[in-house]
Formats: sequence, C-alpha cells, structure tokens
Amino acid sequence: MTRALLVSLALAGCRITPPRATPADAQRGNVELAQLAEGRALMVRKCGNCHAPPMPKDHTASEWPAKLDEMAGRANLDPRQRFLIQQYFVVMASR
Amino acid sequence: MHRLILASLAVLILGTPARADRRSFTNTYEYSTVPEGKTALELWSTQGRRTWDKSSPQFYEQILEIEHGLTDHWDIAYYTVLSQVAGDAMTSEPLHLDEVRLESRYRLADRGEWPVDVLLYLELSKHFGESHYGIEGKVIVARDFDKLTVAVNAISEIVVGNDAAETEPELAFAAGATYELHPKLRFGAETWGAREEAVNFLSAGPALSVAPSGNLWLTITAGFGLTDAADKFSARAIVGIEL
Repeated sequence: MTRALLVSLALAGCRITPPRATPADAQRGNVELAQLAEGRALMVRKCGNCHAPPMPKDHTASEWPAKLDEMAGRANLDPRQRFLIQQYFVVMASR
Repeated sequence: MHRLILASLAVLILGTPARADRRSFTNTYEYSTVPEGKTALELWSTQGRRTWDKSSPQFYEQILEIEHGLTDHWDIAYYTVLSQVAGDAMTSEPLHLDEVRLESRYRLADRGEWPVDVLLYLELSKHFGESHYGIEGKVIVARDFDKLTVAVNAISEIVVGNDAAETEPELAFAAGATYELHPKLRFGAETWGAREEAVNFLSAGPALSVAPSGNLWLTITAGFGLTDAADKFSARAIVGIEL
C-alpha cells in the first residue's frame, strides 16, 4: 500500500511539460526572451483547452507554421497570439 | 475496388490533419473546456436495456447541448434532454422532453501545471412539468502520460423540490483511460457507477473516439452492467461539431 502510494506520488510529480526558453534560445532565434516566455504561456493556455500542449520537437521548425494554420482558428487565436506561439515553436524546435 | 474503398476510408478517418477538441469518453469528463469565444454543438444518443430478457424495457435518451467558452478556463453549456421508454403498457413512455440542464466547467490551472489537472463542474437541472430540481457537482482530475490520458470524476447530486422522491445526496463516479493511436483516433475504456440507497450500480466498457475532420468528432461507448442493479447494456454516441 505504501509502495503504491509512493509510486503514485512519484508519477504525479514528474510531468513532462513544454520546455521554457533560455537566454541561449533567445539569442539563437534573435528574439526577446520575454516574447518566448509569453509564447509558451499562451500556447499552454490555448492549446491545453483541448489537448496536452505539444512539444516543440513534435515537428520541425519549418513544419510549425502549417500546424498553426490548422489549429489557430480552433483555438481562437488573434494574430498577435498566433505570432508569439509560432515564434516559440519555431525557435524551440531548432534547439 | 475494395482497396479503393479502404484507401478512401483511411484518408477520411486518418488523413486529415491535427488533433481536435473532442471527448474520449461518453460518461467520464476530461480536462478540457471550450476555447474562449468558441461555440460547439453536441448531440448525445443513448440506448440501453435493464436486463437481457426480451421483455425488458429499452430506454432511449437524446441530448442536444450547446456550449460556449467564456474564457480559456471557463465554459457554459445548455442541454435539452428528450427520453423514451419502449416496454409494456406499464413501463412505456413516448418520446418527451425530460429535462433541461445548465452546466458550467472551470479549469483551475493550465494543463500540466499541477501534478494532476483539476476541473470543477456544476450542473443545474429542471425536470419538465415537475417541481424537481437537480444540483450536481463534479470534481474532475486528469493527467496525460504522453499519449495515454487518464481521468477520474467524483460526482455528487442532490435533488430538491416538491416532486423529488429522494433528497439525500447521491454519490457517483466515472473513470477512464484512453490511448491516442493516431491524432484522429483514440481507444480506451471507462467505468462508471453510483450508490443509491445502499444499492451499487456499476458499468464498464470500451470507448472509441474518431475525428474525421477538424470540426467534427464522434465518440462511442458500449457499457455492460457489472452489478445486478446496473443496466445490463447501454450504448452512447456523442457527435460534436465545432462552430
């Protein structure tokens, strides 16, 4: 019983979430770190309405704009939100 | 010819891109709400029978639900519920408006932010033509393990009104696990049950969810009664259309 509880707690504690951008990511993408952080937060909030937030590595940097074309309407993204989310995915996918 | 038909079906079911906002179960709620400003329609059809006996009454329920996202964490929905019972002269009921319901769901955090995702659910219902009101609350916890999603619902309902036969709170639950075989196809199982007046109701069965396009999905569950009091068989299908 104790072992089952410990395993459950361990599983509960180790969730895999989309990576947070670092200063190195911002420098590589030639964007502001704050924009990458905002893009990630928006993505988790908007995409997480319906499904687990995707990982940047799920697609290549060149594939992400087309994926955003498919999902932006469903998630009701305005142009700025879409730009920030796409920027996050493109920069983080090329890590 | 057969190969052409199979290929066409494969393209129809699996070939269109993207995941969709849809249910993986028909009894268990998951950690999702309608996106802010979006509206969706759901059509629920449930059929079942109390026992395997041929003379057992068969019931049918049709629900039309319209839901709208107020914010990215909070949505609201309105249901009309029609029902019918096919049985002998004592048990038969023609198709009629059974009740209306108002539902609201609130996600306490963004998905993945907490060790388990927690959603609160409140539903108010009114039986047509009767002083019979229901208040139902659910605590929905869920978690994604990569392509596997697990959800558990703890449910409590109280009925009030002059025509309410029972005013003690009822306790119920639902739980399910589903695996994403393809972004358009999920397969899993769910179980649900309740305890009313010291009687246990428990059912379980497989759940299949298909999204042929980005704005349309279909989820089906076949339920088999595991206790004497539970309906021996029920089948529920939900068709969702994102507007």
